[in-house]
Amino acid sequence: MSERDPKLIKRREFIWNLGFGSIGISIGGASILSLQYLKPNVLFEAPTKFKAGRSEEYQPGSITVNVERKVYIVRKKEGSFYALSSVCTHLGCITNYQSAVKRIACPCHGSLFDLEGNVLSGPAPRSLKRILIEQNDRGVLVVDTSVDVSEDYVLRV
Amino acid sequence: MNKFIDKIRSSTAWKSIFRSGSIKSNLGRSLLIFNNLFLHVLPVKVKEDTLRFTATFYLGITSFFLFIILTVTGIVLMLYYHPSIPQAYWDMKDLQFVVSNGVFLRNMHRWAAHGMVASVFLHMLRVFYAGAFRPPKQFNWVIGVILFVLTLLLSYTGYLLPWDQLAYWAVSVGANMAGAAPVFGEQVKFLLLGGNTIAENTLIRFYVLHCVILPFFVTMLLGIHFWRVRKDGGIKPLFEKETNIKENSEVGVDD
Amino acid sequence: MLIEKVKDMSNVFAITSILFLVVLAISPAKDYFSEWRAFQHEYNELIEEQPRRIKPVEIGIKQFWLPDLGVTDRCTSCHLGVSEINLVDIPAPFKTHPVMYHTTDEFGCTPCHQGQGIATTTKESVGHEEFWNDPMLPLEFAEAGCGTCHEGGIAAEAPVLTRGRELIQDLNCVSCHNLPGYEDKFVVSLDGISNKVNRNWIVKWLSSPHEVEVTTNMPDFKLTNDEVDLLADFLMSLDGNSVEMVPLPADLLEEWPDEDLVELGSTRFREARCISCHLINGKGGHLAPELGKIASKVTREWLFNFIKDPKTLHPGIPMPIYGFSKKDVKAVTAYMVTEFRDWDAEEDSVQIKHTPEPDFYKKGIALFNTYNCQGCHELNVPGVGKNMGPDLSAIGSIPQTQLEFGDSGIETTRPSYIYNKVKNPRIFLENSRMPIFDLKDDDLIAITTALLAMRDSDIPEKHKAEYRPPPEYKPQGEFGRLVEKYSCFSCHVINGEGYLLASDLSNEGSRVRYEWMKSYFRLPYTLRPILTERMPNLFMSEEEIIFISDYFGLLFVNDEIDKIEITIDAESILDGEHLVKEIYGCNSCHLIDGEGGYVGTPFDETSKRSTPQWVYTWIMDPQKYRPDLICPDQGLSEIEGKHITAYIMNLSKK
Repeated sequence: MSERDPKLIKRREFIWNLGFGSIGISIGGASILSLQYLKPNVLFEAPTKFKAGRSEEYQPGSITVNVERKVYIVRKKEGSFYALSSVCTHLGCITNYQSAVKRIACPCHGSLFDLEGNVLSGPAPRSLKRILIEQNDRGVLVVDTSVDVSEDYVLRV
Repeated sequence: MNKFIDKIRSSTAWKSIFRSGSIKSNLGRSLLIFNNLFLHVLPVKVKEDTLRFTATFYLGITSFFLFIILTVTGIVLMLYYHPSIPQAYWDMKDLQFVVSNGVFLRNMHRWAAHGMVASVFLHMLRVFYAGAFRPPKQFNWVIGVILFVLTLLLSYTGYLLPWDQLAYWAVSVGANMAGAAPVFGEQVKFLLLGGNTIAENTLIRFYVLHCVILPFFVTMLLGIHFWRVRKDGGIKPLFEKETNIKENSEVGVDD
Repeated sequence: MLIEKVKDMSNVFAITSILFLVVLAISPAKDYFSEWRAFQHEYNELIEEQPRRIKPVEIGIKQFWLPDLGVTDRCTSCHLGVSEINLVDIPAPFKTHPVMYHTTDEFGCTPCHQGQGIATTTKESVGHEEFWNDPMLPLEFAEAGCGTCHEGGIAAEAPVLTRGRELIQDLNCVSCHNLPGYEDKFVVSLDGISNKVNRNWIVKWLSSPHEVEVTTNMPDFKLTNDEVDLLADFLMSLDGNSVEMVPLPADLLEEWPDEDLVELGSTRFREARCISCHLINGKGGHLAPELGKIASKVTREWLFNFIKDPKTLHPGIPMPIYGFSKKDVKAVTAYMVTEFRDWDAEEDSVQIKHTPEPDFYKKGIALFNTYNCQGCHELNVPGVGKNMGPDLSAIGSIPQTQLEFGDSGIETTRPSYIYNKVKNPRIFLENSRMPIFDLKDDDLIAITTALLAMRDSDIPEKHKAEYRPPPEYKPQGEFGRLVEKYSCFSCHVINGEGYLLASDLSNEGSRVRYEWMKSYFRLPYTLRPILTERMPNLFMSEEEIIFISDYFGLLFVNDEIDKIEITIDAESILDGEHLVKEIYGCNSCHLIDGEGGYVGTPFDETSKRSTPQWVYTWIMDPQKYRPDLICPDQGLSEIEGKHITAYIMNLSKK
């Protein structure tokens, strides 16, 4: 029979390999496509950069909580600004400002911070993150929660 | 290559899972099938005649594979879908406009769904004309009919999920048809819609039906359906070849 | 054997596998060759050629997500240069956005432009997408976007929209359509109309209002001759409900009144400057109806009574009640009935005797209601009722699928529907009752823009622009009565109220000298010779003149103006003269010593009229109290201003 022809057998093997090859590429490609699919191209999240009003709206020596953006905006007595993330450095709960004792407290595990963000007690390993606060050319404060700054950063206005 | 396969097959891990010894003997081959949850729905021996294309047109297996495709694409699509008004519609638009390969998956799901309805229906016709509903296959015919109805229901419930005009009005029509049924029609419609109008409740109900309840029953019944095919004496071909009845050659799993 | 057959299926297997691979490749290929990706690459290449360095875009879909506005806009995935300031000369879609009054971060794109913001292809985002309810507004109607949130106060930013809103108001669209924000305006009442006009005129008027009076707002209803006859018969039967009229004095009963009387009437007619507002045989103003053929339109009795007191016959009319004496009224009437006749009509004055149909009244009233004449014209007769047209309060967001285009063959979009409907109201339906307004293309676009802004939008209230209409000033008491009698607000503005045709009188007390004001009321003269609309002689009584002048002098003063100190000495006068004549060339528009231009007011008269404080205020910032003034702001220094003032104040004293 012709099937015994070695040339034919070789050809058939090639065609089988071709089939398996394309299946292999397809499976590989499909996994890449699935990964692409799983990675969102657009995010429905608030932008990290936001306007926080004019500097005159803040009293010197005050702390203002922005619950939505998870930020404390502090204006020191001498008038300079800094911004703290209100996310606790322990396990990510949102801290509260206790006006009676002038402390920032975490409701989850009892960490306590001062207004500079330093840990006073509790399990928190680090002081609260200090984030970028700037003033744009129209005099409006702009906070960017995605940019960390050093602990002695202040904005003078 | 074969040596490598043999080595795997004789490993402890393989044996602890498949528990069958050699497959060189007919007994070994049978045990492989009997002892495996996934394989035991298949017959140990298959009549060659039933494997011809014209015997079944492969409609059953086509339906099954379409169901697999639908399950896989469906689960993946759920990752970007919120069953709420009007977010459901925006999610469709997002799949179309911004999710990588979203259109491809959605179209695959859609065409596979159309294909499954068609192939299940043709499968039923084939079974009917082959007379495969006769004893001892009556029960499997009934299961098959239920599966057909479930397929239609899956198609119907999935129709509402994009929450566009087509979805809304198709489901309105369908719900009113249910409402027109005698005796319990109105109550069924009320339960189906979760209220008197097609609204948020309806969408979530259809979503749960489409993604959980109906697929669950289809999977269960499919298992029984396949198992009964074997128990009831295998496939009954549409056109039986006279000559092959006498000496059916038998085919094993492996050569 | 079967197993052999399976082994033989290698071809089928290979082909299906490759097919599978090809199908799978479609999706990434489509993504790779997507439109927005190509645009972003093109943009990155383009900005490299720019002289200024511009940050290249990171490849990927861009979006604005503003949940409280319901906005998810991906327009900037392709419109990459919208917020860049240096890409003005670049072709679309990369161009810098022209003047932008809102930032994209706060408002995105679709709240103004509409369109499918979530789409990432040209066709579906800005193209004509049949199943998207709000396709992008064509650019000529783009200001409709402003009107969605701004109810007013954006005349400079959105001139087309503002013009459209004025037209809708002027054409009184609100009389037939529900249009929130617009007011029903004054239109002549039809009560007792048969005492006013004759049948011939009504027939002509109804057949084609624009032929009778070019400037009229009355649209053409395209009535058939039968309909015109019916309506005319119906209207001529209305003699009740009218205001009691004084019977004609004896010397007006003759066909041709006494010549001396006509002569006096002609003088009074000129003094009262009727042609400031009325058009007569192609000359005069456009504010009021044409008078050229008035005597063939209205009855003599009505004309006499109207000149005597227009506001009793037509409450709310913008015409002042002139302080004519009895004889003056007679004289003006005599003059008008002698001069302003339709001589052509007089020729064939053989009036064709017309017998009305037996049930003309019933049919006429039905016709009157069909065309909703009551919408504009008041008529107190039983059986007359409002018969409004479609509600247009949300016409700008009406689903396009609900619009009936008939077989008009026009583009099936919402803007195209509105534009064509206003242009030719009978285009979609032959027997539509909407009349033809005969508008120019610019006006059509303006009206369409304003109508497109009438939207049921889901933009939250806090984002809508707060619009405070200018304060309503309603003078009370005797002064209020005089302002009403002489219709001051028809031309002047006081405290934001009125129509700015002449000057703003809010600071009149600080502006002009008391004596001059009194003399001006007695005999007004033209301050700026170039103007056509001039202050009429209202024939006010002496008590009235003193009252009004006192009122202005005491109440309409402005301390900011009054406190300015001006010293007039020889040195400053000399320097002022130099500045006026040599440096700034004021005499190109203003008369100085009888020489110079006629555009501005003559300087020679200024010192008699104006206070020095006002002259100073005016020249320092001409647009401060009169924003539409063409006098250029020269940016004078304080010293210069004071010296020029001194010079001007000194001029007529020579």
